[in-house]
Amino acid sequence: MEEFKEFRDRAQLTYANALPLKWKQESGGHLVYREELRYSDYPMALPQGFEEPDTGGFHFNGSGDYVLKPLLECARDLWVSQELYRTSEDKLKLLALAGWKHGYYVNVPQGSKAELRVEADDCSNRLIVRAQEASELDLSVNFSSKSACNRFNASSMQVYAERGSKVTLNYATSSSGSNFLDFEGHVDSGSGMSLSALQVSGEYSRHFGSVDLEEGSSVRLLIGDFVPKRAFGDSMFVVKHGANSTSDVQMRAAVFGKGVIRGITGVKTGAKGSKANLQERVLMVGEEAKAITSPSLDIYEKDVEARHGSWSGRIGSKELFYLQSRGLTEEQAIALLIRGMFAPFFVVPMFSDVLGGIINA
Amino acid sequence: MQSDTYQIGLKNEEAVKKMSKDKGEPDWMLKKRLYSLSVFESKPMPTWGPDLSGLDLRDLAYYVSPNVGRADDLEDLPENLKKTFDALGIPEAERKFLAGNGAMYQSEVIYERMKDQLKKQGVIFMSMDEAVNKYPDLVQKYFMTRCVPPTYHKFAALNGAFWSGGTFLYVPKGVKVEMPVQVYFLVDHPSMGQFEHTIIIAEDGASVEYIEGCSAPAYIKGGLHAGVMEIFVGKGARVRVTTIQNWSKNVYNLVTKRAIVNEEGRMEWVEASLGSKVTMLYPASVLSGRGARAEHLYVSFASDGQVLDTGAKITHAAPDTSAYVISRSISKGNGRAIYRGQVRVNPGAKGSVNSVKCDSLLLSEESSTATFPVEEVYEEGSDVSHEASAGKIAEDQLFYLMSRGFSEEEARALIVRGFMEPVTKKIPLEYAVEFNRLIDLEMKGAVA
Repeated sequence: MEEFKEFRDRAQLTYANALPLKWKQESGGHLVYREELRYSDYPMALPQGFEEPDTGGFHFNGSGDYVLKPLLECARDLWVSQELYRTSEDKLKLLALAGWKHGYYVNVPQGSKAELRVEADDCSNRLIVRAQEASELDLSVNFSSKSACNRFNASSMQVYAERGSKVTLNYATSSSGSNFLDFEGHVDSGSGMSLSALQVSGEYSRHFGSVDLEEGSSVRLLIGDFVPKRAFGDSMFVVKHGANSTSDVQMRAAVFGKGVIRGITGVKTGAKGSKANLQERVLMVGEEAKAITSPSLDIYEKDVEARHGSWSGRIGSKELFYLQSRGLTEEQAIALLIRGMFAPFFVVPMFSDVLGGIINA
Repeated sequence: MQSDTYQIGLKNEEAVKKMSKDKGEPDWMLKKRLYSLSVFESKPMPTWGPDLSGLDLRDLAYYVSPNVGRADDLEDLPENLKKTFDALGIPEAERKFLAGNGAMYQSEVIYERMKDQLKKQGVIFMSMDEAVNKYPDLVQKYFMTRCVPPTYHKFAALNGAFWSGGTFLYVPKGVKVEMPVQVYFLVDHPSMGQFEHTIIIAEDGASVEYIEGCSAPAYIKGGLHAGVMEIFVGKGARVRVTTIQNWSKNVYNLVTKRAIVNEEGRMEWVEASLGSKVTMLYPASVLSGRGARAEHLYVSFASDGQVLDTGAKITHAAPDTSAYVISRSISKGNGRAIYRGQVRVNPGAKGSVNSVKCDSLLLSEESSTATFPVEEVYEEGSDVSHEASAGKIAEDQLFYLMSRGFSEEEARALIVRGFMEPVTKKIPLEYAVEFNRLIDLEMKGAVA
């Protein structure tokens, strides 16, 4: 605990001096991608310091074999401590990595199977998840369960799918205030990860993620962002490929306010046989809607198949007319078309709960 | 011009004043140069994009006199230049299919000629230096005002301070120039900067096609080409600019090109980049009138040691504007080809449509490619899409061609040509033939 306290004090000092507008992302091990978008200044006041950590904050409900431990009790665990003591140059990310209030470690032992539903009670959460060799994990996390987070929330999640494991992840985050969620995935050789993540943006929301793929691994990402009127949502995911790895990234957004959707696929030298697909679709609704899309590829290997695409536009008048001619009002038709956009999310009950209400509203 | 060379770096202001005086320029131009110089000195080097650390701006000659007189006929050019132009097929091209022809050597235009018929119709085609003195009011109205102001970026400001040569092309209302106008740029001075400034004005209903070719012998130490091109497309007018860039592979090619397109106007960019060490080329189209259109067609071939960073910058600033971009890039050796584009749809530009398609082909293990598109849409009633792919030559295509008797090298060259076809078919035939020949040369030895 002494070590952990020292770490927090040091991180807090770095946090106090960190500039809020600097962030970097690497892709393919070569590129430093840095971009400061015009309207991504933080409009909110960031917390002055870190909150005191405790051992609560979550409701767990699960079956199968898994081990749960508060992060505070893992300071001496060799595996967890590698993760626990990480920092970042980015002020918000540092807040999520070192300044969390509630933290848990989820471990699925070798060869086991587990299914786990997690509800967060409060804001500023950190989850470190390890699916050991040849295990299977089905994990759903709802970071958006409490209204307390409507002020400010900075949470993070790190997931390790070790060799031959299979991880299915779903998480949702929402806030009407300021919300930051950072995801990191590491997929070992022969492992597969399927992640569906949904953000309902508030006044200022930033949902960043990166996934490292080792040789022969695969990932499927479905990233959604619902940006209501007067809200700002920024979603960015980076996938870094190893040899013979596969990625399929689908980013979808319905934007009434201001939305930024960015995807980066990096293929480093030697990542032969990589296959990558990155698609972004942004539906703009209403006069106030503004969107920035940026699907990027950064490739240093010849033997790849990579493609990306993006589309942003409004609801087609033909579709609207068709639905209205079947007796739906304009609002109902728009709601239905937005549901269509987010259709892949509706198979998970947690997402239906979060999305259903807000779309109808 | 009396002076031979201005070395830059130490006393820029004096050099600018001397240059302007030697050229006999009006006072407003000197002021523009000095203002541009202050902007250039105040702006930092760009930190994004390709590495420019090898570019030493203090080590460049900003102006180099061609040391040859102006020629009225290609026959009157000095023997060495005549040989070069003959080898490039320029005299024949002038006779056969050019409405106007010009040549810029070092920092000055040394030759230009236009068909008499066009002169009678009021078309102006002359060097920018000459235009500043002959048509000061017209030039002052358009020179680095609203299209490419000196504040656009550091290298635009550098051009504003030290520009020399370039073309002034004015096409009056309703005049359609059927055959292309061409200018050839040649540099053969060790480490010089060529800063030509070109302005093309197509008044309402006019149309013109402008072709430029660039080359430099391989011995130069590492020069800089920082040209600026400003284009004004009037209502219902059409301008096509075709550039075939084949600078030697130690030149930094940092070019600024921007067009303002009015109502129902049409701007077409055809950019073929083969040479240079580093290219940063982002032709911009500002679609400022209802129904304005832009086409950007790029092809780039990045060989060993080259970084070709190109892309389109399109601003939809009026309703019902449309633009499409096709970019094809090939990387060989450790070459790197990058597409870096920006699309912006301003509020109120309802009904705007934008489509970007860029594909990359990787020919060797060490080659690399990247696509960095940014699409900023501030208007709901628009449609913006982007598609891209990257990969190697498909084995089945190679196998098919080889089974028909082609060697592997021939088969690869054929596939590469086919890959580039959507762009090369827009290049005038004579140039396309030459371009394909250059590609074949680049492809020699591409089979590992």
